Amino acid sequence: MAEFTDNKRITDYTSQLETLSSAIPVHVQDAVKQLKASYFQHVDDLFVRYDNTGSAPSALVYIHTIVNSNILERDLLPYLNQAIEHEDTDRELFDRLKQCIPIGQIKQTTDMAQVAYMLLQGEAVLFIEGETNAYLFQTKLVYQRAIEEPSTEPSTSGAKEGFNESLDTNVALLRQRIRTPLFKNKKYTIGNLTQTRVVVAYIESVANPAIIEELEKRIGTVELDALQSSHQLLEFIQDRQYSLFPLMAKTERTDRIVHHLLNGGFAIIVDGTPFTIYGPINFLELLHAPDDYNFSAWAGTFFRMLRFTAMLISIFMPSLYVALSSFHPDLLPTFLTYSIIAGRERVPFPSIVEVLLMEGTFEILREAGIRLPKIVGSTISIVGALVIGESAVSAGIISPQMVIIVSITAICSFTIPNYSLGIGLRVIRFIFILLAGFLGFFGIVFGMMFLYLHLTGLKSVGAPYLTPVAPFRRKEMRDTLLRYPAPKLNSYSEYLAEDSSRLRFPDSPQTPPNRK
Amino acid sequence: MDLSDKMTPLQAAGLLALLIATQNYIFAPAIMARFAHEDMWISSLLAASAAFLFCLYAVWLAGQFPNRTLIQFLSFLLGRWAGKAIGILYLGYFICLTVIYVQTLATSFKTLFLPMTPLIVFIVLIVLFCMYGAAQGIIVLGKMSTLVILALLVTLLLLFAGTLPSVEMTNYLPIGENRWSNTFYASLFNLTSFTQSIVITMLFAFVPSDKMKYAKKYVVWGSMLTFGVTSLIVIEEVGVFSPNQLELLTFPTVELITLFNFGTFFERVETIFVSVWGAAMFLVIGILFTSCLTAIRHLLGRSDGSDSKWLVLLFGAVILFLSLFYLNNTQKLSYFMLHYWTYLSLVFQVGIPLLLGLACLIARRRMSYADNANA
Repeated sequence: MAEFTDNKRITDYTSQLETLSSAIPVHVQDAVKQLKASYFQHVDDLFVRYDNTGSAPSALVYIHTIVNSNILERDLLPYLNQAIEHEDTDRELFDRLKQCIPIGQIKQTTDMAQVAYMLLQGEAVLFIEGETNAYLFQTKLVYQRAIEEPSTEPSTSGAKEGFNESLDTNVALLRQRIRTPLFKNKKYTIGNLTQTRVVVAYIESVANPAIIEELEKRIGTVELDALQSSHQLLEFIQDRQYSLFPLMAKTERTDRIVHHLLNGGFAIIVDGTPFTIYGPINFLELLHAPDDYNFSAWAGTFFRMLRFTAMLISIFMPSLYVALSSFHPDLLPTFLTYSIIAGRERVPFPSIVEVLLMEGTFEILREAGIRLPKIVGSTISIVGALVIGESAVSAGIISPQMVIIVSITAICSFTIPNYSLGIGLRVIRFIFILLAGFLGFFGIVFGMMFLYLHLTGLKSVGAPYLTPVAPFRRKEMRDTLLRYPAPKLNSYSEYLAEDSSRLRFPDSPQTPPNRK
Repeated sequence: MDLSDKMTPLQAAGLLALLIATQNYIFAPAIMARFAHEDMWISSLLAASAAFLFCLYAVWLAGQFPNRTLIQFLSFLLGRWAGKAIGILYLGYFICLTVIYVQTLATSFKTLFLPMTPLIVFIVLIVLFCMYGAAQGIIVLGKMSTLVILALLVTLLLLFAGTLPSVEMTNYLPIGENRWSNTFYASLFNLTSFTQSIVITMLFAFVPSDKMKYAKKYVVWGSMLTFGVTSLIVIEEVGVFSPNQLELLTFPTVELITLFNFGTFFERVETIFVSVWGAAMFLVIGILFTSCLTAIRHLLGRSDGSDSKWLVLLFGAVILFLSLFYLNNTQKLSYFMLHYWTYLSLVFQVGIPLLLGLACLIARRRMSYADNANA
């Protein structure tokens, strides 16, 4: 067996295994011995069932932890003996196996490396005395969670189905909703050790071919030992590695992915995770919720505006408080200034320290709440709200206004539908607090312009991140902060779609009978 | 891969409008009032009209050499060495303009809101922004411009509408009492800011050729709107403060903002207005900084590609150094702006461009004679 060396990557080792490929010995015992010696030394879940009762001795080999024992006991073992006839030629034997054994997929190979690879995929392998072919049976055991409503992205009136960890199920969920041969899904295998299956899905002639080509190029260059999550892949293929903002998004919701694919985007499904990557995205799209399309256009627009305002409050409120109380108290009405001064009378710290203290404590509480078991999590919120908040005010460490500001900021930050964006904005909030604490409004203006510049310069697989605001696209504003009625949303995005001049439906949709 | 690597006509117009919309109401009204007195509104209108004509001319000149910046077409028009020499002079002018804008932003915030903060802090942050902007490229700055110019113009119109009740019509009377030479002279101070539209010769190269027709239209109308809105503020200031009071003010527009009341809640909103102006100034400085780098690149004969990190860093250090030691307080800055810069800038903004237009026409005629002779 090939040995690891210190200065080698695991890829060197796996490629060494691939070169071990050799012909399958004609004797069953030798074949099994070679398989174990070359690939499966110290692999105790590899099972070998020898059978000498039939017309030719044979051995059925499988890894019992990943094969479906029902299929094995019910569909394979009872039929093996009658299928094997020593006098058969290779061709006849293969045909007979396919006729006698009620398993959908039966293959043959003469390559031992292929045998080892397929065993790891959950297939059972049959060696027959005197045969240089091995026969592979699809007996894979699929562990999978039921299709449930995504807990991280609930919807009040939308679909209740979310992806699970099985790639095949996830592709099937999309297929069920997009019943056209134009729906394409290309498979890749990433990870030398994990051999993780990845699927890129898009709708041909709707998606921009330049974007799909670029995406495939990026995925093609990813070479790593283990791919364990969709976010890991995302970091390899997104346009910038150090940005705080998500340049491709992830979701558990099938309806969100379907909506995105129909708009000309792509989805990347990674086996073993319910979080599917989609892109290209723009910043404002991250503030959309699936429910926006399930209520009236007015309600959809109102909720989007509300979320946008809440996002601005969550970023700027603490820094504005610091700037106003430290540098520009004259901006506030006199009675409010007196109230703030009275509240801060006993507080020994400058407002920046006060804000950092409270925001820092809140972030620690939030992190602790996520890490703790659910039952204990509520205790943390009680401790946070009552003990720390109340006690800190009565002890004169923070002002009552500060508690209000931190609470409003926290509540506003919870309205952001995209969790990754929420995390990025939390970091940015601290940067703004520091800028405001040292430079007042100048610091905030500097930070805002820097942030605006950064966001404008970002791209999601080549598409501008801040579109349709910068660059300004009037037509596309119909589905950003605003949500026009569905009959008005008949154009495709300039960057996402292959042909943005094409319409989704005729310009004047059929008028319902009662409106004629 | 970049799916939006060209500047749209709207973005080019936005960039130029920003450049025009940020300076003429800062220091100029005080000295205009000193010369034109009650007729200052006439000076302002004269400046806006002349600026509009000049903008048409600058657009025509830039349109003569599509896909070429000013520095590139100087060599094309005047020959390699004369072109390079004038190009270097223009680089100096752009650097000077950048430093002036850096100082205007830094000293305004320092004087008005943060007197205890050292000037270097402001300058370092502004240069950092410029360097990041240059790294992102002029196209990204162009994308930003549309929203920022909209915010600035709305803010200026809001200021105008909000302080209109404070205008005393008697401050505009009597009309025509002042000497016309003084009225014309006063208009030069406003014209200096407006004729910065010559910078369009550095921006048009980034607009695709097939969009040039729209770009010219957008730039002319965008500039006209900006001339109009900013002139309204200058004219309003005479009506609010009277010429005698106006000529004593260092930041007349900030004083105007103090008269703006938003109900009874916000009592002094100058911080908000100045912040919007500050945001626009950041972008303007970014544009000038990037234009300087483009000029350097073209002088070095590199026509495409982005600026190298080292060039950006080095140029950032130069601007930082110049800004630290040159016009580093409000008095020095306003004195320089009103007594030297007005005349110096007119040479670069009007004088040389007019000569270039003439050279362009002569070159055209020679080429057509040569074509006829060949035929």
